[in-house]
Amino acid sequence: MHPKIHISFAAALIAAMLVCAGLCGPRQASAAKGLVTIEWLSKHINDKGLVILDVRTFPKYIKSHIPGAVRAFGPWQTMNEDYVGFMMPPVAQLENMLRQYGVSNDSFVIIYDQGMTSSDTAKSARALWTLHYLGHTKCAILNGGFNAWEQREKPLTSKPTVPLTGNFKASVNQNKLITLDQLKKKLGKKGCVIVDLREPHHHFGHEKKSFIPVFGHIKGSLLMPAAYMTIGGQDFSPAYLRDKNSLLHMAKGSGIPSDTNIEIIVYSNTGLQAALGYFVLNDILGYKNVRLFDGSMLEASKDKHVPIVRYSWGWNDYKTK
Amino acid sequence: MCKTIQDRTIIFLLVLTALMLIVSVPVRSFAGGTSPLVSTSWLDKHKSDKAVVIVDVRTSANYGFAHIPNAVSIPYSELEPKSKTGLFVIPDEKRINQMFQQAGINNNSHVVVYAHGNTVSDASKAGAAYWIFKAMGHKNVSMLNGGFTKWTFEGRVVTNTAPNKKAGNFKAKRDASLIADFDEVSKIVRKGGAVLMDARNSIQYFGHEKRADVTCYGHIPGAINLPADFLSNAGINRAPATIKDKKDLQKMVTGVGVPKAKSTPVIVYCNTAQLAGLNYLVLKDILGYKNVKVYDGSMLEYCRVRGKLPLERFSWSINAQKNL
Repeated sequence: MHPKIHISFAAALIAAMLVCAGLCGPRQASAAKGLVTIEWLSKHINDKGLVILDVRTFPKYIKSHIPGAVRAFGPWQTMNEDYVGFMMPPVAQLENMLRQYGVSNDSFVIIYDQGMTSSDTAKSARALWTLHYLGHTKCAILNGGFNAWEQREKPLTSKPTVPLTGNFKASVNQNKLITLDQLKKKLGKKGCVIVDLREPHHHFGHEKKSFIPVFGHIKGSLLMPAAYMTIGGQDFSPAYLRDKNSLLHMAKGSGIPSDTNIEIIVYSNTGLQAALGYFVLNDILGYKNVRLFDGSMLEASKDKHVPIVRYSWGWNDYKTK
Repeated sequence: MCKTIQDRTIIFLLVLTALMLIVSVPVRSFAGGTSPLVSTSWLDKHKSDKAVVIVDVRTSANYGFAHIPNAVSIPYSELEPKSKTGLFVIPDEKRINQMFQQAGINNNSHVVVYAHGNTVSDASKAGAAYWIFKAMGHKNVSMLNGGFTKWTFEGRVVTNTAPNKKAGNFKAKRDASLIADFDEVSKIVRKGGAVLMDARNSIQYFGHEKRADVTCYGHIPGAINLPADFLSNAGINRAPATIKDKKDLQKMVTGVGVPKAKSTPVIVYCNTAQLAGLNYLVLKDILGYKNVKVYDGSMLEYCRVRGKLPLERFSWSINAQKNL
């Protein structure tokens, strides 16, 4: 009899430990840093201090959204006063906007988008980067966005949320941003890692967006397309972020050094896809020094002193042949 | 005196111009024989030449609807038919002889291949057909630049009647120096010795997505990526799929990491060897790389038979040149 008792006791102990691992951990333990799952949000949707931002367009929000989510279309990016870039609006304006969304300094902000493609995820990432720049790091993206929520048949509503005004006060973290002038001083210098988040045919200069005046990429920049970071669209899947291991492979395979203290500059056409690069490198992979070049190609391509190269992969630009 | 000298000079210049015209008109001379590309205007002038055989590699339905006058039909699906094992490879010499002879091709014919010319997929069908003719030992081949699309855009005559062709005397002689097999590729994966070039788009090369019948993600280790898409103007301002100019092509080839030395051995592949045909044409016959092969089995085969050979996914093979 004894051995049998021992076995069942051990089994019970293991079961108890497993249950505890699932339930007894700290509140946000199930979520990777910066990313929450549908399950997590549906459990915590009524938590105090949680603010859910819906960054989709107004008509989509009105049609249906996650209960309690605030319409948060922005603007997260506007044409700046010199008309050279599609950039972050002034800090005071953002502060005011976030307060109206009900954000306070102790809020945990969950951001979601349509969740169809990587470009959707990039919209969430852009909002997240903006919050990080304003000093608010208590925020996360809903993995898979609205599509994932809908696919799991979680509750939806068309009733707009009217939030109580928050008391958010920004304390800007300049290290999250790099300006054109700062970037120019770093170009061609050793140890400067610039990462292009656009698609390969834009990087290579086979094609370009009509509003960007030149073909190609910033000389020497590496390529890690934001479009490859989620599995949006594959077998009708919502845009779930790829797992950490795959993203780590991507960073390594793109030539980004493994030292998480190095300075990395991310850019794209307008700073939108770049934000997804920021999110993956900063939040998922733990790089501590990632800066977003807000002007991106739109601004850089109008400056004669930024070398732009066409018909090459950036990592070959400084190789001698 | 002065006048005669002037006259002589004029006559000399006239003779020289005439000579240049004679040399340049029939077949635009090129290092190593026929020009790999012919223009629509050239073909319009020479479509009835006895030595020229125009080969339409589109589907027989397309051919039956409208084709370039005097063109014969050899659908691309016959040149790289699906084998019993599901691979797309060149058929045996007997079958090739049968097809080519029936099409009226002689060993000394100047074959001009064309497909549709809307997308790179179209252009690469013609490119792959071009490679297959070369690989079957036919020296005198050209591809119609811009394909059937450019021909019709320019309002040139088309027909739906097939020409009466006398059977040709074509005899295939497989040229092993242009075809790579799995053994050769696996040797390079293990020991280096050649540049491996992947002609698929970056999405498939990087392993974000894959073609349904290809059983693995990513690329052959060490392969560099030059998508065939980049070689043509297809889709840019609605242009037909003409090939970009030589200067840009050379820039691209060095820009993806191929050494400038024309002796550098290169093996090109894609999923089925179709896109690779266009890279072959560009590397070998436009840019003059002397040692270029196409891996006929391509990813479709590599994924199935690779055994313990690795794959590379989520990487640009940045240090690929170490392979050489």
